[in-house]
Amino acid sequence: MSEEIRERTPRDAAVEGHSQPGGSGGPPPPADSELDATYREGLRIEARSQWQLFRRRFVTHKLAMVSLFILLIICGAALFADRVAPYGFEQIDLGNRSKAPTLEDNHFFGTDKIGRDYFSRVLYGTGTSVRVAFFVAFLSTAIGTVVGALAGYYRGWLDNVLMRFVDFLLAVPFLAVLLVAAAFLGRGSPYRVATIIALLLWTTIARIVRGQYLSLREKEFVEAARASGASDARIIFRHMLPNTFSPIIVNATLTVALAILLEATLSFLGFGIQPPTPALGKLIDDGKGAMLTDWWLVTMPGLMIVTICLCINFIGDGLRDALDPTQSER
Amino acid sequence: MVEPVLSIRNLVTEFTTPDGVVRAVNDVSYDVYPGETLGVVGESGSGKSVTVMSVLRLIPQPPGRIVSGEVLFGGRDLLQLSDREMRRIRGKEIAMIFQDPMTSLNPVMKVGRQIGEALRVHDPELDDDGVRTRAVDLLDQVGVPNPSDRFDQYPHQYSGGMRQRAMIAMAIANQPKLLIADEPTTALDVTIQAQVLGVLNTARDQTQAATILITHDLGVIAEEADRVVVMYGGKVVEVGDVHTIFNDPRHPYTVGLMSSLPRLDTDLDRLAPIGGQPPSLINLPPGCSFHPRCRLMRGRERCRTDVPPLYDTGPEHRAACHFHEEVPTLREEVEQVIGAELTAGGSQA
Repeated sequence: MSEEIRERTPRDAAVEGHSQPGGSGGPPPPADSELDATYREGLRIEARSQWQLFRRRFVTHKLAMVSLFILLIICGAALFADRVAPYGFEQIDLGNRSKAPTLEDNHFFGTDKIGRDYFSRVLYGTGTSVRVAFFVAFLSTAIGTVVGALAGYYRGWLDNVLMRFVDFLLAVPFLAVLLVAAAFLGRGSPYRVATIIALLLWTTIARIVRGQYLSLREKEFVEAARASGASDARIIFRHMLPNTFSPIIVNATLTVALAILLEATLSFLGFGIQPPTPALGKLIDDGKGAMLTDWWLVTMPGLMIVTICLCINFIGDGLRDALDPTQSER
Repeated sequence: MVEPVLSIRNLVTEFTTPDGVVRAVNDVSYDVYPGETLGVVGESGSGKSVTVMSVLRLIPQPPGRIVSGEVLFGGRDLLQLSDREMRRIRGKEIAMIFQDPMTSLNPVMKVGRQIGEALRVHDPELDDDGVRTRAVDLLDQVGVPNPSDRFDQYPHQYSGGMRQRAMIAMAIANQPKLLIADEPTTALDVTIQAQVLGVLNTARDQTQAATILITHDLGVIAEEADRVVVMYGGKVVEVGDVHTIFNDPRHPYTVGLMSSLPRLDTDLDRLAPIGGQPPSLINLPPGCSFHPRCRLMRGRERCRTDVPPLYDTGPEHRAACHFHEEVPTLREEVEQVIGAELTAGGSQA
């Protein structure tokens, strides 16, 4: 309704006179004259929404925009690898073994020992890794947000129990736990691996969200919400949660990069995603034997990991700057 | 006699602090009658706010604790209700307007949605269109111009006065029987104060709600209140209707409060503040807690030893001073010091 009003020009409004606000279901029109309608229309200040403000700031962040562009291309190509890749990831061509990167036959990243096109393999591998990473980011953010919110809102014993558990998780050697968990719970399926990583990565976000809630719960608007009869759940999720979106989004973005690295580490060590599913870490693992002769086998997936993580971190920086409420234009 | 909407009886609220137990509300009783505006005055820390927060059970526990007393509202003791029943009363039967409109609106929620929240909490069936119609209506009622545009704006796009209007809109959204306004104009500048008080008046007239108006601005009290409760050190020291309180105060503290105001009828070089500091609530002076600052005490032992009860000093007028008969004389002296002439009817507020 309001969109429709905004699009009108002052002249239109003047011609239609006072029938305009009444017709849009708003309050009864106080204005009777055309002049008044024009006047009101001219005085209407176009309010920029939070989203518009955020977008404006993000778009002017050059590094983040370039990174977003590159990342979108990589993710797009990787997620639709079956259409983009010149070969299948298991397509063997014994006549073309161990070829260095070349434009010939579209072997951009060369081929491996049994003649599989490495560009295609990296593309498929990236697809797996990116899916895993986003799943990890989603799951760990969800867990961390709920735990942090409950701990920060209720404080007291609940906070103690939850936060000591977080301390415990942070105190144990990360990689060792990851390896043991992977060995016992699930090698192989990418989503099992993702779940294991997520169960270890939620602690950071939980601490961040708890901190936010600790300060938010003292705010007057929370008290006002309580005074208006809102229940705890309503206060936690409807009133307070939107106030913590910025750090959550920034952290979730950075978690994606971290998850890609962790998944690569796990797969490299042989505890992650198992063949035949290609994954970036697994590709490096497979290629490390021939590293001195066929340098591209390690370098190409490695470069892919570095590129993705760099892009994500730059985007994270851009988001952080754009979402910072203290910079909002008033 | 009309039944009071709200009766506070012998309320005691304490806070545990590292320095000891603070008895912020110490045996407070007062009534609020239908349709009236009850002004509650007192210095910072006199327990005005904690009393009403205890009524709504919004005292953070711990460290706070409602130790004893009764809060009777609609025949029920609010202190005995379950959390769920209490939630149904908050915002519906008793609504609150907070002091600082800059911080009591959620910065990331559109103002319309926040008003909508207040409606939805008590009427889950309400759909988006219903919320919009009602909220725009409410914004219009409290004098927010272009309410249907303002509905979609965020608090930072509102000015201070507008925000307080939006808060009032939220408070009257469910037609409460009792409105509690905790220093609603303290954070606003004087011209906006007058407007907001006007809005509050209209809102009260429309909803027929009784109002508790907490303030330390005696001018606001004189303008708005029907009856006045004066609090000091967590206790009620004087109750009466507004004319009696202003014309014939019977507690030295009330006299002190009034003589410390700037006045229009005399030329003052300096204001006459009440000497000394507000008492520490951890370690209240024995006897009458006002005695160390009292001009009327004149070394009398009784003030140091006996806690004064609320003496009846007239129809519907009570004051907690052993020597309340002497207060008019004190007032005269004070007035003379100030140089004002105490006219027959007193300085009409």
